[in-house]
Amino acid sequence: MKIIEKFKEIFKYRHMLTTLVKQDINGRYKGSIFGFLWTLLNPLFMLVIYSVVFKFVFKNNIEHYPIYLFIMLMPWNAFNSMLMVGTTCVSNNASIIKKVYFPREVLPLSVIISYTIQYCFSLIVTIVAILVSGVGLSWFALMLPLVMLVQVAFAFALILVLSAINVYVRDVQYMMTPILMIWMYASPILYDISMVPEKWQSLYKMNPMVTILTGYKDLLYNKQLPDFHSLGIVFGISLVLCVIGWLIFNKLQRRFAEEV
Amino acid sequence: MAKKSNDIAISVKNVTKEFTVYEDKSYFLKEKIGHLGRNKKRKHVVLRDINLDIKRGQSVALIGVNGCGKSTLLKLLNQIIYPEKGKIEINGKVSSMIELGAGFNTDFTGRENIYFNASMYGLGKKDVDPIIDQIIEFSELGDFIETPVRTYSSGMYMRLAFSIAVNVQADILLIDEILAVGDAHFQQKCLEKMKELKAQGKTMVFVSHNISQVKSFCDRAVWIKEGNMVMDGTVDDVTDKYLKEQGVI
Repeated sequence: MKIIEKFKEIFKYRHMLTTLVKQDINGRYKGSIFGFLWTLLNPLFMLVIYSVVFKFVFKNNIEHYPIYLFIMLMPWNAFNSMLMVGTTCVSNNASIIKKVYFPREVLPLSVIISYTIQYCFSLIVTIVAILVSGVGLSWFALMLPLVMLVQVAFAFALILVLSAINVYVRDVQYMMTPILMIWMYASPILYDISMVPEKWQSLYKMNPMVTILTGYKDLLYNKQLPDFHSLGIVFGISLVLCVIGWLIFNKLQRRFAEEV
Repeated sequence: MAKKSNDIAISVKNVTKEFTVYEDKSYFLKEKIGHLGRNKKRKHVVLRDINLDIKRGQSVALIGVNGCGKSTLLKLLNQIIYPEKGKIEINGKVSSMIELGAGFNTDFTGRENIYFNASMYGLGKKDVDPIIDQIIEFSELGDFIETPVRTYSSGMYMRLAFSIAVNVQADILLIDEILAVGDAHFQQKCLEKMKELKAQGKTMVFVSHNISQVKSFCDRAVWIKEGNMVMDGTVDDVTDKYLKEQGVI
């Protein structure tokens, strides 16, 4: 099986993968005084701003709104960055693609891993905020890796296709900004899912990010079991998409070095 | 790599490579659509029906004038690009020196880039640690190894790339016209190192215009002319014919 061979090969190049992830995380804040601390400081500042703005300026009826927003926005930000950076991960690495052989899948994989780690750091701030605000943490939070896995599988499938097509048609990377903005408003981040009108609900729930983000909300905000049925369906679809995405990626990667 | 029953390191069978030449390369959708119908691209055959078997431990030179397809063949051997027709089989771990600097991240220091570059050859930190001093010493970069690669001169860049490529314990080395950059002293050192690797039984494919270097180093030469293999034989026979046709001797 070609896929099993590919897994073996990627395992051989695991050192490249770890080096790329390290470079990305260290390199992002290279030359700054706080360095890696920014990974924690950025979400912290965001949280402070939300708490102030939504307490005094915009009022709404979601309880602990800043915390709710924070719980939902952090995984969305990770997803957003995965797709934005992931789309250009092949075309921006022309210099190594033209000169060295390596399984090209290492590039999208490194983006996924790097932003998953980044999300884990923002989770530290999230959990502290949950405890301090009085929302309180439950044991259900331990199931977070399951929801994250669904999100990662879904994002990886999309990145495989987007990064490969972007090599040939650079419009993809510019289309991502508006698409992700629409997508964000079509997901329950700034508002609660119950605010969506009844007749639109079934259409609204076709968006896989609704299921995934609701998973985060169940575990961290509602403190209850997530909807494993829906998550399972999204995970299954994501795995199928990963295989299709890889087939497309694999077909297109033959001419990467000529096109980048 | 497991030892195969035969001792062929590189096998190239009926390989044809075409490039699509765009008269006006379009990266954007609007341009791509605009170009539909108008015949703005054409096929250019770079290599035509190449057959080549290279045995383990052989050193082969690819010679020919600029643009004849030598470097393309080397890239095909390195699996950076793929042939339109034919098959290439490689038995063993490949390390390559194709164009300058095998993908350095220029914001990182020389030392960091050694780890990065070696990781692309499948070496982890544990594998690099015992050989890093050897690599740095060979590169003669001294204290510059701790400064970002973007501050390097092209000679320093190439010295670092070469030092890594020859120290990652590959079975097959692919070297493209690289020695031209270093000064005479370093060129000499590289040649010595390559002879040493040859003595260890490594397979090498070498693209060069420096015929005396080729003669001193390779056993076999392959002459490529306009994408066709016109001659394959001992280094003396092939280089003599080649130079004669060039009108040099």
